[in-house]
Amino acid sequence: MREQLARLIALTTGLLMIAAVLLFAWVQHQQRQQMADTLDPMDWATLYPLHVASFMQGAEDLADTNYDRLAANPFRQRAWAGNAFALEYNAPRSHYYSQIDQQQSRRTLERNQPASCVHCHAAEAPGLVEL
Amino acid sequence: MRDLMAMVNKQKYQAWFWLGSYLILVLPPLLLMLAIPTPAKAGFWWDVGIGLGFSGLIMLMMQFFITSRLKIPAAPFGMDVIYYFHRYLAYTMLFILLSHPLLLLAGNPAILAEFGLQSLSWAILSGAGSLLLILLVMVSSIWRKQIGIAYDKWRLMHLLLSVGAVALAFLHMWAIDYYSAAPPIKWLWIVIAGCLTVLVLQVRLLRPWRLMRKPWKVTSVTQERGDCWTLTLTPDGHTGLTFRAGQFAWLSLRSSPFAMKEHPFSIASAPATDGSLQFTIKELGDFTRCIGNTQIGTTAYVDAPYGIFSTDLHPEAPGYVFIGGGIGIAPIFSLLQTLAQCEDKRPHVLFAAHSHWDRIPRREELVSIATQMNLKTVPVLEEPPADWQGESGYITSDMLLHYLPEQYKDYEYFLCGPDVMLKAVKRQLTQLGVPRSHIHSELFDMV
Repeated sequence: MREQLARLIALTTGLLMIAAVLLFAWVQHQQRQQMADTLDPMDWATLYPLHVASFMQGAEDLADTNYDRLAANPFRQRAWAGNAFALEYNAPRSHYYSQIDQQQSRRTLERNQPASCVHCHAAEAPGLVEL
Repeated sequence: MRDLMAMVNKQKYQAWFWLGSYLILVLPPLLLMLAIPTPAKAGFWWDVGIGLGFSGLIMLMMQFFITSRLKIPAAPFGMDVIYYFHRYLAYTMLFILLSHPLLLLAGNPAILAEFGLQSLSWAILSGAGSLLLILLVMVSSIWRKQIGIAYDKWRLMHLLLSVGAVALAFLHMWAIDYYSAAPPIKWLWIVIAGCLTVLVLQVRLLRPWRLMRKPWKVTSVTQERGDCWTLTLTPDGHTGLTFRAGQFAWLSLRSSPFAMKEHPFSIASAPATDGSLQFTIKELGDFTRCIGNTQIGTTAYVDAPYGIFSTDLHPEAPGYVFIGGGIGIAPIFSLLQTLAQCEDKRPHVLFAAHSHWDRIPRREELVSIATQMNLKTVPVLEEPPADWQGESGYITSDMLLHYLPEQYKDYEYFLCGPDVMLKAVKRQLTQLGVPRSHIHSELFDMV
């Protein structure tokens, strides 16, 4: 009798745990479904505030004294003469600048370098993959 | 089933409180993961697999809380039910933990590549190691007797393997560091691990230390019939303990309370003015076989009281029926002595089932108690002597009906004895219409 009671409570507890996990997964799924249609990266802040806050912290990543690598190693300008990288070549910065540093580069602005990497860093990437 | 539900109804508030408390303690990691979601990897079933992993880990950690002999949560159910809950919960926990890798693999077979010998990571190895240890814990617990592991060794092994399983599961989570990467989730797990560490230290260090400060002395060792011994323990430098008749204690003899060599025994005496306790113990297992060799003056440590096998919890009953089989008579001595001391006038019935007449421990004492109160004693012998006039064989429905009073359905029944006998008598009592909520028993044979 007492053993049956313990068995009943344990089984109920296990089933409730599994139900809680299914609910957890369903809610997460719904949250992600809502987000799947958005193209504005800042919309992610509503669901992933910590991730976005961490991303935004990267905006302050300007302290690299060795940022201009052409200035640090002038021989590269001569070695790469004729190539777009001879115009501007900088050290990588945080994820925040992954698109900016390609779009705002002299390589792109003056030489029309495709900067194709930018596509995969963009919020539009999933949509582009589907296309 | 209807009777079972009646008992559940009676204890439903306590049961819901217990279940609610458990869920409150195990759900925070999932809730926090919902509040701080992690970018999806592979869809709904992947998330289910991840959720099961975290739930399994918290359930594994909660097993330590369940078996830490905390008296408040155990009070409504009795310690035996708590241990059974621990056992059956382990089955559901194992199902959940095994489902964790299986669902992840089913949802994304590509991660099978990680199981290649060339690329086995600590993250995978620690998770698999934790599962293996949990399986070892369960196999050694379910089949301890068949494997031949001594109880003391099993207890130590159970603790070490369980702590190892939790440590490896933690390493697994930490090494993956994806779903638990957000600082609030990480801190929650650190707090949970901290609580668990404090609990283990409390149970394994602080409680034994407290017991060390309240030692007991063995003041008499009396041989009884039926390979039984009665040990009398007297408090040494303290006032003893307060307990209800019928409760049990964890007894450490000839060893420190830190040694994890304690064994549960029913207290077989009424609360005494000098604080002394009696235990009537049968030579059965590896520890009890040497119980007769205990020297007077031996120091003992008593962790008590536990259990709800007590008439004190059912004072409104018109009378009690006690059914003891073999050494199961021990807690009934405590109950009867207490009723006699209180000069209880209600009619009570005792069925004392034993193999032979000359194997009934403390027989004369039973006769003496019966003269002090309104107690009808029915010895039932499995193998009676040729001139035996009383009952023989096993306890049957007809035998019960013959001796039970007319309003027997209102009585409270206290059963203690071998598991087979308990099941048979419970079945007969329920067939006679005794509500299951009136049948009380204490279960000890759990591992």
